[in-house]
Amino acid sequence: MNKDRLLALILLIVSAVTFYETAKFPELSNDLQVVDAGFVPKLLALFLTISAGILIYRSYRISTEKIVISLKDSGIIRIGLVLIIMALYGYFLPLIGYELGTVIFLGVLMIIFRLNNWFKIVGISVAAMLAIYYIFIVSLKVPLPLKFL
Amino acid sequence: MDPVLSAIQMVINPEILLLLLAGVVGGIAIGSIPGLTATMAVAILTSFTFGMSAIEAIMVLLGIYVGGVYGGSIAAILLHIPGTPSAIMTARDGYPMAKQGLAGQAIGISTTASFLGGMISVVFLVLGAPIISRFALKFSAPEYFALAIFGLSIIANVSGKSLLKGLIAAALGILLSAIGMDPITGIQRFTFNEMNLQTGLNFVPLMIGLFGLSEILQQLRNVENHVEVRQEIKNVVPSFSLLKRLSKVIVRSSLIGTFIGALPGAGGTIASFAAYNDAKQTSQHPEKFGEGIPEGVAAPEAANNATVGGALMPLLTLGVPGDAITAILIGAFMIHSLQPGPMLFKNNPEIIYAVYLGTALANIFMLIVGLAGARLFARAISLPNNILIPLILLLCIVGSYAVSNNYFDIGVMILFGIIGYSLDNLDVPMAPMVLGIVLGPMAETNLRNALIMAQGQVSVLFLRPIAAFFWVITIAMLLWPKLKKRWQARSQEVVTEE
Repeated sequence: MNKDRLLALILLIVSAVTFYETAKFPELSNDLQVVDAGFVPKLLALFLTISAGILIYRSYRISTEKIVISLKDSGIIRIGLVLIIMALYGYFLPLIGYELGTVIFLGVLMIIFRLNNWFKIVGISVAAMLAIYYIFIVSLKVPLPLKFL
Repeated sequence: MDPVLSAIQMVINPEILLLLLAGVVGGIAIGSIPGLTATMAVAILTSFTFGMSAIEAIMVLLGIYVGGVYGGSIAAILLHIPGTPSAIMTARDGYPMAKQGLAGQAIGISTTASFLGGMISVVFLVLGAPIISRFALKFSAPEYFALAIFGLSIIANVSGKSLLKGLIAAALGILLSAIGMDPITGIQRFTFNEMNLQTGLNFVPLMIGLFGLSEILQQLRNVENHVEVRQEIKNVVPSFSLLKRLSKVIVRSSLIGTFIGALPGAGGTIASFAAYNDAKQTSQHPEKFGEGIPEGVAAPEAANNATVGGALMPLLTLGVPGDAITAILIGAFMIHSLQPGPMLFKNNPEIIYAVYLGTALANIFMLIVGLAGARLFARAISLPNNILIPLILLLCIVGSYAVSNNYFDIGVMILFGIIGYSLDNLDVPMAPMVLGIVLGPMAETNLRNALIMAQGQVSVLFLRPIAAFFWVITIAMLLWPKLKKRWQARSQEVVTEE
């Protein structure tokens, strides 16, 4: 799809959601009506709608690069995989704890990124987990969900 | 107690100095790795400051800022890959010097020039900031609104190729800043019945997502790529005679850097271009530029580090960030309940003096660490991506969680990483979005307050003298990109005229 048209589509969706949400804001007294809570968001949504129009118009006049998302692209697959692993790490963090979760998280990522040396994978994962533990928990007193340490 | 003495007492203690040093080392390490910018360094490492007091956090962040800007030169010299955009010009003469076996000397010149540039800019910061802040104390709602719009006019300079896309990014940023409770009416806006959104989006996970994760996602397509550094690093400390020879170039470039740094949106990249061009034009051997001349390293490095002191001026005095890094710094100040601007000078003058002192000390640490650790940083550059990227991703997650010990923030970071990556691929710049997020609440609240004050009369926004002054310079700022383009084109013409 043409980049500008895709961006225009996203802007139109954002504008529509903004108008819909601001319409639900409660009515205020006369003094505040001019500058109610929806005043600036509505202005911005209007601007985004106009911008979307300009982008669509421009996309027919000037040829812009097309954006192609292919599942055969190894980069896209890697990005998707990394995002899923990050989300899973965040989800399971309170259940399995920071220590085990972090070692698994780093180990899995290094394997995906084709690091083949098991000694390095385990060593670096454990060392990084301990380093973050020391910096955040011991030095800075920032709590992380611990299970073992 | 006298605020100067109080600031000295705060900063000159072993713990604070160690934190400042750690910030400088962290900044240099991240800045020296190609693809990891000083902006990313400040965004990700902000999470390390949550458990700290305000002064500790500010010192760490100043260290990261100063170190990150300098760090870009190491990869530029050793690999011909600028670690940060502001080191582009450093690569032109730094890399040829390294190829001639003078890598150590080039790093030494870059470090010393960066130090001197940084120190000269601190002098200007100390002299100039109080004057601007006294002027800013006269502001009320219409002036603050005009000031916020002036701040947003920086978009014209940080928008890349398309001003429209810069404005779109800023509008999206302001919209994001509206999430949560409306400060005037108390109404919940765009929270979609989500409890975690009632106080608005947390700034740090958002920044880590936009600047940290999205950059890593871009790099994931080429994760196999990794470069080995094989340059020999020796004779790092420059001789006195060489420094004497470079002194004029360093002073001129530092002045250029300080001035350009104080202009919102101009930043280190244009400063280094301008200083390199100036050094070449005033040199007796312009033909040697690009072949490995020390002046070609000293000029851009003095200039880009001088932008730090310059950029801190609008940040401290007006609360207006000049670029993406200072926008993140403002967010970090706010996390620690400090609002940069004229009131900071009035209510917490010791913090201002501590910033002056901290910036100067960060430059001194940068000089020591840069000269002593050149070999170590050269090795850090060669850390393979398949180890480096997982470690950065871990920092992104832990940093986002640590803001308020809330798993929701990890989701926010991942979401904004995806948004940042997608917008980047659609050629929408990120920096204006950050400006929108930072300046959005200031613009919105003051616009509405001014209109309430004037019972809906729009003229109040334009007719007061200080507000009118800001509107005039806003228009000038919007015209500035055209001048900048001409300036850059002229600089590049001179550089390529060989």
